[in-house]
Amino acid sequence: MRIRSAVVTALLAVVLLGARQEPQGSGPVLKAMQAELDRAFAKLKASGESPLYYLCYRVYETESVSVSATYGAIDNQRRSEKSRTLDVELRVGNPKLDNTHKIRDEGWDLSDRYGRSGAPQMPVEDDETAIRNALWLTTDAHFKSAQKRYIKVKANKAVKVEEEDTSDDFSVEKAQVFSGPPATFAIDRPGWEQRLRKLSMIYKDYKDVFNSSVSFAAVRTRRWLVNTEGSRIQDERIQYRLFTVVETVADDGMELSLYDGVEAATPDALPDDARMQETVKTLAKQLTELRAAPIADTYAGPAILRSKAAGVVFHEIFGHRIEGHRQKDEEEGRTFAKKVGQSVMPEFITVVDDPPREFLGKTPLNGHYQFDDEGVPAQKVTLVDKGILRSFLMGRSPVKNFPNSNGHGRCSPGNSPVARQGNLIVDSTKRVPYAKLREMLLEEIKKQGKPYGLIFDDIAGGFTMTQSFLPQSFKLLPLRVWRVYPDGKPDEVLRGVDIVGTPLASLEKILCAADDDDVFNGTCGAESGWVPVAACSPSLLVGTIEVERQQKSQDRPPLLPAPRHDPDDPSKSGKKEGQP
Amino acid sequence: MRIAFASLLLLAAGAAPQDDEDLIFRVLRDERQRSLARLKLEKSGPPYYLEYTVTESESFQINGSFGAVTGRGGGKSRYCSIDLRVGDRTLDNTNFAGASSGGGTSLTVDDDYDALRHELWLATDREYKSSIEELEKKKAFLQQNTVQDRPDDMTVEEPVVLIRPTVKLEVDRDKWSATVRKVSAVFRDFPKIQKSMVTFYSRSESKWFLNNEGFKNRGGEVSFALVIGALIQADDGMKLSDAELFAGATDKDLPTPEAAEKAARDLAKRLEQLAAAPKVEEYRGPILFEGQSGAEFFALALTSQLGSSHEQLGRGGSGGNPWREQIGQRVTSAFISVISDPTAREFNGAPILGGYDVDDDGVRGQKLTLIDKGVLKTFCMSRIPTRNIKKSNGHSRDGVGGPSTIFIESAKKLPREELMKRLFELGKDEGLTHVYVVRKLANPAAASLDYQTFYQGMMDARGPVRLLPPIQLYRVNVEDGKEELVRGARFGNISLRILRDIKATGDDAKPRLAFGRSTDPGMVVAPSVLISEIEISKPGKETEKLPSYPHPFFEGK
Repeated sequence: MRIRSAVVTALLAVVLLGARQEPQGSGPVLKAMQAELDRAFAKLKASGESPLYYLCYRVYETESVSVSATYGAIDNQRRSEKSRTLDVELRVGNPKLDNTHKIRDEGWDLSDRYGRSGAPQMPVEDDETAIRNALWLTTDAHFKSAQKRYIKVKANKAVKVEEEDTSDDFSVEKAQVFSGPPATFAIDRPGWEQRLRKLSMIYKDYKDVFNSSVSFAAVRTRRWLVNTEGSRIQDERIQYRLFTVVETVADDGMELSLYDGVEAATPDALPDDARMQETVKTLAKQLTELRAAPIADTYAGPAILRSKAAGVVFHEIFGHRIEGHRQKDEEEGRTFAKKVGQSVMPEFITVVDDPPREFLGKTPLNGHYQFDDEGVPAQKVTLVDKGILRSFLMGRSPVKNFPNSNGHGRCSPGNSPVARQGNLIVDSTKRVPYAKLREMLLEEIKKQGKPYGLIFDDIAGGFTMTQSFLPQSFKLLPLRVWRVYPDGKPDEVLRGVDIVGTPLASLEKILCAADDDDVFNGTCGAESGWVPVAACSPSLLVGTIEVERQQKSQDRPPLLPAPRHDPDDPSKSGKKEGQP
Repeated sequence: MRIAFASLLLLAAGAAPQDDEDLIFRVLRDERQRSLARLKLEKSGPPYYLEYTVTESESFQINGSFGAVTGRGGGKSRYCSIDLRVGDRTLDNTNFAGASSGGGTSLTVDDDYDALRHELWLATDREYKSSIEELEKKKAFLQQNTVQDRPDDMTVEEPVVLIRPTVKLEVDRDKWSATVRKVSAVFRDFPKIQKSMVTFYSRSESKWFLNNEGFKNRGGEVSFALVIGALIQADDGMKLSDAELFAGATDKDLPTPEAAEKAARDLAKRLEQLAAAPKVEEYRGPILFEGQSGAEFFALALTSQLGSSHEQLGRGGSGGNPWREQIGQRVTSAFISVISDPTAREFNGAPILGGYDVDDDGVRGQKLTLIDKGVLKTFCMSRIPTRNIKKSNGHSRDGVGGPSTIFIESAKKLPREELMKRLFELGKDEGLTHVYVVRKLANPAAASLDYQTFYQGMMDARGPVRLLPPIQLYRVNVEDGKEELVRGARFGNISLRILRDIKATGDDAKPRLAFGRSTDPGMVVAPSVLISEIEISKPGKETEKLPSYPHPFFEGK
């Protein structure tokens, strides 16, 4: 989302001075939402057994164009016109204890099993009457279920032991008024179809690439937020993605895939055709190489995580564990809950999460935003300062010693916000040029008496298990990993590697960083849906990384060659059977 | 809820000449030729049967509510389903519990030979490997278990070649968006209606079929539909919903905006009357299913026994069609005959939707007498043979036998007055003061307005025959014929006996769209039907609370 900073500063100044400015462009959607919000609050705050104390409407409008091509042809033409989602946040009780309080050992509530299915759909047109009609019944359903849940919350609290973290259920925050500029969304679909057809055709020449695609997607998300504290926010952002995926099966049945792509908030940040052609050819060659590569062995030893890979690793093993709400959830592992003020990493490492930031150097940051999905302004948060854990990422769900949000309550349409990452940035005061880092790796290999070390060039993202009944581990999906020999033998690419390990142990073993900071832009999925994020880091030398051999599928590769690469294919000889 | 209309086929008149330049056929033929000649894996040779069906669909849908569009969507896509068999006709990898029912792949929508071949190559390879594995599993099962008189896995049929033109979807999006807005705005005049929706569907589907026995066909169909649905909550909390469904092969077959507005108004008024009606009492006695509900009755009680008569190996003989071994037995009243006729296109001037020339196995559709004077004669068959029937009769729906357009013929057709007299007689014989007439059952097209009530109703239904609850039910005085609308009824336990409890029918048969057990409606040509005994239960005691505050549009009006 590109906002001219002068406008923002002016608006924020007005807000901070306490003046309530009528936002620009408060069109029919916002009007309808505000009118219905006010009416609902007036009617419901004294109704029912438990008082309604907070109501918030969020409406998201998404419009997307998605084009994908394989082997020179377009996959399908799905027309995705505008759609709008309504999210209602409704709280009864009081900020110290309300219906959103976690119910321990909740299980399934059969009486609620149909939930809110059948809720009226939000009109995609700006018709106030129709919009208010849709808001009304959904609010009523939320009100009834909030009442029910509040009773359960109180009962659950009464029968269970006291919780370890007794912070409030809802923080106190200042109302915000903001109206962002409209974003132009004009996508030349036929143009993209042509470009993608041409790019995907390049893969035809690589017989080891069995499946491939080149894809483009652009999503515009408009957001309207009003709540009973006086917040009124209207903004929009566009997310562009241009990416390519290749897949194959090695002779021993191992499925392999590689991915390369760019996510950006403006179309000029996307690579042009010449660069994409290079990307496609490179990826095809890399996959061909990988297909013939030796399989990795189980191994624990020194390694370099190249910058993007390092960013992803930090996002998974650290970022997800310092999301605020997890720290008081007794079903979560809470790895870092009690470690504020303690050393969790080497003292030369500092980690911040900075959503207001838009660029790292010239690279746009995908996790940039101004207001989170609870209407709180995003703040730069210092998570780890010189190795010491200082803070968590916070939404409006307070945890012990952290009573306020720092603007990280995020979600995708249809979900409730929870604390999520934005732009995670790893910094180091101990840096050397990359070439020197590589030398240090070789020294470390010799020092530890290992036969080789590893360099992780590319990681596809992974998943993290944070629940307490699962081992506190993480799994990442490395795409390209190199074996590095201390004796000067050339590096060799490996296939079938999985990084494993426990978070605390891995973080403590960072030895040094390079000076080649780079950005991994992606989309992160968790309980509040998919949100755009960035993870930035220099290359890191780590004392120990554990890997294990990937589970491999047992399917053979295809029995016949691809038709195009088959000299005996019927289409080539002109021979035809006698049949129709 | 999507109405897929796989059954609403209406073919273009006349046959186009053979088209050997058709790109899709070229792709299918070349991959077929290569696969049959060269697919080998260890001990297994090439497939003995290979069938490709390519479906190209294009759809466009508009949803609206209370005067505004709430969503629009659709698109174009292609899919190829593959039936690949190893072994031979007497024992192959199909008809085995746990075997997949065939696979497939999505295909590019571009007419690009290389891309289409590429996708087909990978999918055929997958199907070949999984067929080999499944045949081994089946053979292992047969070694450990005895199966008496095991039928073959595939019938022998004469090849059919039928080439007709493909179709494209042409729809005026702006015009229909305006109609959806207009019609949904009707509900702004009805304060008691709590929820409402209007949906316009349009879809075109072109198909190419090719196997290695000389079967080849191509054709296409277009379908349109308009659904108007509404929900009302009575003062005691009971939720009641109903929908109107209009369908046709062109958009001119759908109602004009004015006619659709009137249908919406009538629907709203009916629901208002229903919400104000008294709750039904428990009842056991005769019931007349009149008009539309006659077709609905047969769709729900009869049609699922008319096909799927084969037995899947590995299930121990359980499950499946309860009539499977009943050929030659009387299954309905002796004056009832049942016919399935895919070739029928009209009935007394009214159009019939859902017919076809060739079925999903490429076999020509046949007119079939399934039940003759109450006796079960045969089943709708695909190319899966059974112990009793060894040939297809052109009734394959996705490879499994299933009915096409159903005709209920009756030798006891009574005009309405006579039918009502008979109904009253039956009631008086039981000592009843009142009997019941149903005019409409709950419509699955309205399910999205209130999933909870709809699925609760489905789950509450007991017995092998599950009739949806009646939404237009009248309590009628046996002496003076006075009618009273009642609400909240559900049918009690119903067994298949009910088809032998048909006492008479009306003379008012006409083609109607009715929902059976599947999610697509089918065409049933049925008269009103008088049943001697059914149970009606009164509504349960639990209802949802009314909204905690009034509707914004109607507040203060």
